[in-house]
Amino acid sequence: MEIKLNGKKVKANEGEYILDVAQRENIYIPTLCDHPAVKPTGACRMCLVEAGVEGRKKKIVTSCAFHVKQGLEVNTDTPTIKEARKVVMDLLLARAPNSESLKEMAQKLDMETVSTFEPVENAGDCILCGLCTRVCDEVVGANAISFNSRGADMDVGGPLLDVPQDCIGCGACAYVCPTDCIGLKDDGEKRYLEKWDRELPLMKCRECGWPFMPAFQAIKFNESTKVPKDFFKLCPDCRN
Amino acid sequence: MVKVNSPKALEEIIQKKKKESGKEGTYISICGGTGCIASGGNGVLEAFQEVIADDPDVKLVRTGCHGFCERGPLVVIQPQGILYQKVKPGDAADIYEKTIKNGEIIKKHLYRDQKKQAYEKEADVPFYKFQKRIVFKMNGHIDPEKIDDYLAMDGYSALSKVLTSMKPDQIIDTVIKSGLRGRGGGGFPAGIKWKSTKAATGDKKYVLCNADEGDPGAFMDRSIMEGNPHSVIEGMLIGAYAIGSDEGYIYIRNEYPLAIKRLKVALEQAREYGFLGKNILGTDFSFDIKINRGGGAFVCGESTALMLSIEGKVGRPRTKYIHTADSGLWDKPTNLNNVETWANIPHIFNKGVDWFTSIGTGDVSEHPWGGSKGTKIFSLVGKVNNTGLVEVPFGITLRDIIFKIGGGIKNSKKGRKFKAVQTGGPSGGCIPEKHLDEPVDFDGLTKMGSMMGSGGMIVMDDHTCLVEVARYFVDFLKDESCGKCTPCREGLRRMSQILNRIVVGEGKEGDIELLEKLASAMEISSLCALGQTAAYPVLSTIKYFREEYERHIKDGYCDGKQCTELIRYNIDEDACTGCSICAKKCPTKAISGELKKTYRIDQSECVRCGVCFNVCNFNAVEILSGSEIKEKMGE
Amino acid sequence: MDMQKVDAIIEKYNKDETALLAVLQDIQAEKNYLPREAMERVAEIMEVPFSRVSSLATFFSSFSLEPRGEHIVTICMGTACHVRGAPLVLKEVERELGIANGETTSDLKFTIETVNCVGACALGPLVIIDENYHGNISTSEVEEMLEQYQNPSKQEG
Repeated sequence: MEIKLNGKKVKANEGEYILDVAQRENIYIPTLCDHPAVKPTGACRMCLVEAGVEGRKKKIVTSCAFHVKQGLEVNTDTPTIKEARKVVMDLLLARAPNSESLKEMAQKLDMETVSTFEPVENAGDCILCGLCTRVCDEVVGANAISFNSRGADMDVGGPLLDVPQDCIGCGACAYVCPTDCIGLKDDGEKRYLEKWDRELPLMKCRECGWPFMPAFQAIKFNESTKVPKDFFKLCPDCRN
Repeated sequence: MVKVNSPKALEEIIQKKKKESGKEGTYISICGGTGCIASGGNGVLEAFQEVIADDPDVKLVRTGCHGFCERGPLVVIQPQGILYQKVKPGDAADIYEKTIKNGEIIKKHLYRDQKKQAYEKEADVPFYKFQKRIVFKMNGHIDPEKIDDYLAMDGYSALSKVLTSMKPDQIIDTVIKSGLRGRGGGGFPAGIKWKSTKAATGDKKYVLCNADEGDPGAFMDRSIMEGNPHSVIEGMLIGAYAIGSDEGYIYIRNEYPLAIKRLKVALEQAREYGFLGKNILGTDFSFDIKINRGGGAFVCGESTALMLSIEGKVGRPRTKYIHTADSGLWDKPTNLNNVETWANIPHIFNKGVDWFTSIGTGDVSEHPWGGSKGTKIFSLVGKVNNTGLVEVPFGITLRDIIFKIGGGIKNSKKGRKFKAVQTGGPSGGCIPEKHLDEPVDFDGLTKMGSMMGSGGMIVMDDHTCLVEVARYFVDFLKDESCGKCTPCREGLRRMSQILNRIVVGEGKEGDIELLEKLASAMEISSLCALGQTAAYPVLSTIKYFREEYERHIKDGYCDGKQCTELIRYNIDEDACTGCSICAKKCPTKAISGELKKTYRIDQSECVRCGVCFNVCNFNAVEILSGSEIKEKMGE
Repeated sequence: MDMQKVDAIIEKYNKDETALLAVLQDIQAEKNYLPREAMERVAEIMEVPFSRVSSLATFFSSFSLEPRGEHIVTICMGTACHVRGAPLVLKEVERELGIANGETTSDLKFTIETVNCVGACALGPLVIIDENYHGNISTSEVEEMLEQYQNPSKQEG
């Protein structure tokens, strides 16, 4: 099918989201909570665009979660959109004032990298986008972390914000985090996930002795992937 | 109980129950709504039970809410319709002897208006006289825990009619033509929703009832469920048949224990008669309803959050680019309407589209958005004399509701005046006096900068600070926001900070503009309606009362004399008679003085609760703010 | 806590995952709060992640994760009660009991909570203590109202 992106006709495929097409066409839409490994959720609200079928009134939608359809017209940088994104970014910068990735994005949006609001109390780098919880649920299946409470008090972490005992230390959360706030550290013996305060011993490769994976992760992945029992005894290098 | 397995059997049982009801003779209707029970209604019921125990000619009906909660416990003697208010258990014997046996009216129990005029009959009391009760019609007459009472008033005959004489498409067409719009908030035409859900692909479809009445200050849905639960069930049955659903849920707040209990009883009784279950009234149609209790989250009134909550998940809304009519509960086509909407359905089928469209505003013959048809129940509360639930036709003016039905502003003798009325719940707006004569309907309220919402109507007098009201709603929503999307979670946090500093006199130049900027960003960028509309109370109060914001910021002056940091209570020595009542009532003992001389308030002890102001009979307590404090008290 | 009671509650709902909220509500009704062990038990038997139980229990405001007092003093903060002075009543209750909203007195006698409307708006400001509704309460009546519960001999019906 064909859609119009900022006035230009481009090809799009059934089932794609606007954001997918824009990324392919090298049209910049800022986004923080989107990742190809998980379903879109539309939480950060940075990827807003105006979209509508030709001839109809355009609506403001999140491009990460809006499917393309024939005749769709999308504008990614109208004054309304730009202004809204700036306010959202301004709010996020007060949540995570030291985040390098936010500052970088703010610069791309032509705005100050310091929020006009005073930082929230105990501000870290987390912007509560929820990618870590979604990857832990949808991809890993460990469901070790989740949101607790709601509204302005909402926070992310293990059950009752304690150390998540179901965490297998796979590090997927750290991998997808847009502000790099999880803090994954391997010291040869142990893996430590700073944000969750979770420490796990690393398992060494039977062949080369490389501490490549937490033991829990091996058990969990063994169950979910149904690979041979000894599969995770070897590191990826020695497996080949 | 015998199963009613055909329309004919239903007709027979209705006739039988009519005869058995005894409603031709004398019966005493005692309000058993939450409000009246809170004022001691159960004791009154027991007293009457005892008094009439040996009199077979008099029947007692413990009904649902009559609406006039402020005057409870309410007792109505039928068939004459005599209303006695604020009845105590000890009055039962007297009422029985005098009124029921001898037809004598006991004056002291009658309702009196502000001019002290007494009213004998419920129907003449202004609070009731100017209402048009359709959904509430049965509330004062039936025992909600007795399905037979509902049957005796032609209950379930609308269901029978649609099952025997109408095709699903005809039913949907009827609802569209009636112009019935959702009573829960959005005002979306119910028939259009039904049509989409029916058209959606899939064998399994759900029909839901939103009973998570979360708007603070609105309680009509609770009263419908407590007073006439079968009307909701019958409405859902008709909807389910039209849409093609066999399973329904009622999602209800756990804060409504009485409503939950009565719904459970009603569902059980409907099952026993066979109105719920398999092959209803002997047809191929099968349907049943489960109850799901909410846990205290305003956002769960949002459709996707409500559905997730029924699934046992946290109620965080999702994007609705795929409609719930296509993919809702467990990703199946789902139709959601609220309690009051469902309760309207049987009436539309019993009395017809022409009758329904004759009530209300606009013209819905072309499309259902063309007007607002039927009635709406408002909960009229706040600084108004007659508080309670009022059902009125669309098109009535705000002035008629507040002054005719509501009896005007409380304490008007002490100089209190109307200032604004807040409608639409936390997403609504505050409407000032200049709009009082405009008709109330879906589009009218939106034009006034507010909305219908679920029908909360909170009246505010000149001793209400509108900045403080905006702060209240923003803080409410800040806590109720699900926290998922940035603009709602963080935007409300910032709005709350700004408003909280304004009400303590620490507002900054530019704060109003900052509020407006946040408001517009939240409106366009939030994920769900909670965030999109969260700023409306702020925007509407800035629109109509901007000077009050400015005076708070620039002069530390609170027009409503309500912001405790900005006011001082002071006793005017000339006016004080030294009666000492203020000193007696002051909770912190901040007032001292000598009898028959003047009293003084120790400002360091005063918590500014206002009790002294309210109890003083000589207008000797004044509330000062801004520069007045310095002028009068030299502070 | 007595895990048999928790098991019985779960059993009542046939371990149905969609009844998770109802199960937690029933446990709280039984125990007055949601003990951590009970939540862990629910997660284990109903086979849902503990993180989800935790999310639910902290999302809905009607749950308490701390033991609460013998008497729960609930002040309605709905709009109707608010404009009629509920914040002042709350302040007075806090002052009288010497604890803040959400806290429990050290003798475990009282817990103060607020609720966003119980739908008895005509009676505002409204305080509910246990299951008794106290309507049209003014700040000067707070002390007397609490007294009934402080001193059970004076308690009415």
